[in-house]
Amino acid sequence: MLEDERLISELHRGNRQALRQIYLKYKDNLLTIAASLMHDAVAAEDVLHDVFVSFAAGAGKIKLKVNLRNYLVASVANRVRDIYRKKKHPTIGLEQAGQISSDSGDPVQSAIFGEEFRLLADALFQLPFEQRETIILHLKGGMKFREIARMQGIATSTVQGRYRYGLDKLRKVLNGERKK
Amino acid sequence: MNFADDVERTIEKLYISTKEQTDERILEDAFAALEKSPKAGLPQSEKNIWQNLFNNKITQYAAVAALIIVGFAMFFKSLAPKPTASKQIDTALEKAGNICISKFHADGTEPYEQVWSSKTLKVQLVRTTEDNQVQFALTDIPNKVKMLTYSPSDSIRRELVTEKMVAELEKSMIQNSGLVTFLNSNEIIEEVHWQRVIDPTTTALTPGTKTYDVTPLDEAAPGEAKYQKWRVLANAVTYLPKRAELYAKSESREQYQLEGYTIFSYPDDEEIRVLIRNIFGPAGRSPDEPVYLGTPERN
Repeated sequence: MLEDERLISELHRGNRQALRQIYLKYKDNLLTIAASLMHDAVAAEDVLHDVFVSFAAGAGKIKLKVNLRNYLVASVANRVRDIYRKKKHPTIGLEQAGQISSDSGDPVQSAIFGEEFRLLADALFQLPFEQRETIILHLKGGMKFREIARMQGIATSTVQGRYRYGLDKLRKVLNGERKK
Repeated sequence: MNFADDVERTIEKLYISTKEQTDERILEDAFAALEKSPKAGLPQSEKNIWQNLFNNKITQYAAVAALIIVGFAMFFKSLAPKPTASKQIDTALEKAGNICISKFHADGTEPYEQVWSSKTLKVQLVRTTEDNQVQFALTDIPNKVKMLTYSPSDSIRRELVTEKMVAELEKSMIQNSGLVTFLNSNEIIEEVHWQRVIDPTTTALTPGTKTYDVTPLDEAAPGEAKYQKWRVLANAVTYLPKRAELYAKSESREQYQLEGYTIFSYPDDEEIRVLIRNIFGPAGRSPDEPVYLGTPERN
């Protein structure tokens, strides 16, 4: 967190290196969040682009009340919701993303994870947007239910409900896929 | 265990990395935006202008005169401090014992979410609609229990409430404003601007109220937040909010469009007790008989 505060302070002075470091630190996590929400790798990259350009444009004025990670995750989520609100979003598929990988270095494990992640991404996209957003923001964005509730303007219990329903549905969908 | 059973862990491990060309494109555009961005503090050239101005004798006298005028203005202003609308609403909410918040979609007539929060009874009841299914969740602090049911006729599930949950809930109850989204918008947005507006249409809809527009000042607000505004109608005397409307416009659109609205009411203890009994009490019982586990009256 101290590192982020230092980077923001540098960014206020227009330091390009600070902007690069922030980008490199958070880009993959933010892309994963955007792609998981949209099921569209190309659109997710556009979201990442818009969020960082907007972030850089307002660099001199940014005063963080939340931590930098939450700020950027909220920016991505808001941007995705904005796109969904404007039009019914067409999807292309996560196969077009740069790389989908797991933390495992084992090639056999990675292959299994690759297939599992594809199934998971497809299953996630079958959830209503609100449930998908809650699950992704909590598990990939590291946001607490209370923080998601504030961001979405709803009660924490609603967020917890969406998370629970969403996970139940995911399990059902994934178990169905495995039986096929 | 297959990965469907451990779906949370699998999602945590989901990872997509950017391509090198993507990084180059984004960083190039971000650097260009950074160059155009106004920096925090005054640029050197502007500092020099100020230094030159203060080296001038006439400007020095003018500056002293201006400071005296500002000093007088601030002195008289300090004699009659006027709390801001947000502060008055915040204080009013803090004093309110019970509150009911009903949220509607723009074209909705049935609320998609309702929260009843009682400081005196120390209970919070939430009614949500998910996939056309209505769920009621009651958190009863005195009895440290949470009860869930999908409808008044459904069976009731009970969960124990941890000390941490109790502490969080009590804190949100004390403030009450924690439940009111337009007062929380500055969690993400640094500054919002409250402005009194005269709108005969909204006043006719909710008589006896003062109307305010709450808009973000922060141009760097993330995503859609900077394109949103709240219209808040508060009781003209007590400043308790009665209605709040959320408007949003996309980047390309000029006009704000209604996204949803919230109705506030302030029920008394008995109304909340009856409501809880009707939902969590066994069918056929008289609403006068407190039957559900954790009735606040028992404490």
